[in-house]
Amino acid sequence: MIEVIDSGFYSSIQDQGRFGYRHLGVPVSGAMDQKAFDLAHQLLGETSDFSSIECTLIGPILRFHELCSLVLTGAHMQAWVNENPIQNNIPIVILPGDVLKLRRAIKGLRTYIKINQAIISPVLLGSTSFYKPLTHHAVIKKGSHIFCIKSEKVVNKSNARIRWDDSYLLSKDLAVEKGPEFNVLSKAFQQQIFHNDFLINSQNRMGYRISSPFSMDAVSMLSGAVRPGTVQITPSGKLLIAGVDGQVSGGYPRIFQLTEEGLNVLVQKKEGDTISFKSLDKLA
Amino acid sequence: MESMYTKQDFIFTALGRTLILGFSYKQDERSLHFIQVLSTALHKHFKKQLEDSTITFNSINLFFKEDFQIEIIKPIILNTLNVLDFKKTNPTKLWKLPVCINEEYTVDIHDFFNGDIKQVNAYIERFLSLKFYLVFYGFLPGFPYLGGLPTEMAIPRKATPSRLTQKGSVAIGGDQVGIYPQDSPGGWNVLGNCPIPLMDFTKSPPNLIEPAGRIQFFKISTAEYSEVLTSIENNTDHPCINPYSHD
Repeated sequence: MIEVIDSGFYSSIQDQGRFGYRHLGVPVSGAMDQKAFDLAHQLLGETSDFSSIECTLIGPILRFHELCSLVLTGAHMQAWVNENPIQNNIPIVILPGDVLKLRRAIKGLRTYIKINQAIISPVLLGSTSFYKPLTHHAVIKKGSHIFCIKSEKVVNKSNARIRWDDSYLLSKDLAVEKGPEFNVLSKAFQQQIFHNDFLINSQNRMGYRISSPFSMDAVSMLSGAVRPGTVQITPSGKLLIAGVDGQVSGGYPRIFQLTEEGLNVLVQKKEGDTISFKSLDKLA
Repeated sequence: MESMYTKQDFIFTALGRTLILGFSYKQDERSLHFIQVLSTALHKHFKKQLEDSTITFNSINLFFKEDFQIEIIKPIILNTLNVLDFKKTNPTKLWKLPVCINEEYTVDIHDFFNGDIKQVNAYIERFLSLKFYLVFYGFLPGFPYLGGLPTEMAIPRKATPSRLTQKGSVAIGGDQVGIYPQDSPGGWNVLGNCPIPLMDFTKSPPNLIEPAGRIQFFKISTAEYSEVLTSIENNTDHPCINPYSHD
């Protein structure tokens, strides 16, 4: 059992995602940074459950009541177990009564707490991922308890051979492919968009809002498919990049699609950070 | 019944691992039905390779799990189009859905007609005579986009969205009609409220109505509306909760 002493800024239970229901308007949800999510899974070895706790900006304070092993991946937050600082990407043993304290993110935005036990969380449409209003909660609440089932392998800290590369946390370059409506941008903007830096105005799990100098005429189009990492442009030049909780369709021109790697870079950026787009396609 | 589209009508584009099969939106039931049948066939064919497949007004979208090669997928899709037996498909169901139209729920329509009761009533009367068809779900989980509103009945989206559009709101955005599955901010113009839940994510399948299904609304009073809500809560019968009829 895990006691939530403090829930942090925005902490939720997430798994690999809720697939197969987009046709009913249900977004995939799941971990925003799939790379960090997968790494945590690999570092702990095989466990029967895929859920992690995704922490944003300021992590939670959790008291563990049972023995388990634990690893942090993704953003580097100030992190302690019983006041002893701990590092990302290194599995550690947690004893009954230990308190894990995560505070501000120093590098990146989203951290994953993964333990080698199955987190018990209601499964809805095949996934434990929090997504309100489909699930009852959007975040874990202070004072609540998270229940877990022991996995076969209790402690496994021998996965030191797994290699990781956290340099993406500091990158600002988003690898993109051109989207179906890239050509709504004027020829000048089509060149310029790969040379500018852009400021992130706001972000959440639904998506990122980014300002751009590219105003344009309103394009009348019918809503089209949108997936995590799809970049749409509004008539006033605001760029909207869909997150994993974003709508499955959207009515603005889709100028880019972030690659999986590009999306992992993006979701570790916070309000006020800058990003730039790097083309995978050969430019004319 | 002949196919509404031919090979030449489809354009292939990609959005990462999503293949988009684009076509022009034809606002008639037969075309929609054709797309629905094609989409189902493609979903079946690629089932193991797909996370999801969706339709919108003018596209079928195949969400592949892995990177795909368009040169390999394209001929398969074109072949599916060739062999698809459109004639054998069943006509879609007609659903009769109650909608409560009272002062509380028609504020937006009153505003649009500047309080002209005559125009409001004429609009509502015509609305109730129409048969809509469900094109796809999007925007919110369980939000159906309905086609079939004549262009001259289109009402533009509000310049500033309302902070709260109630669950069950039957609303008009341009020439589309939608039904809000939950309370939400919304920019569409509310005409009435449908007390029947169209989506229950604890059930399998969660949706009452399939894409290409047809919908006609009938007016109920405020008293009937309350009765229906009570009946749904207590799981009892009510004459208004029998929303589906063969046609």
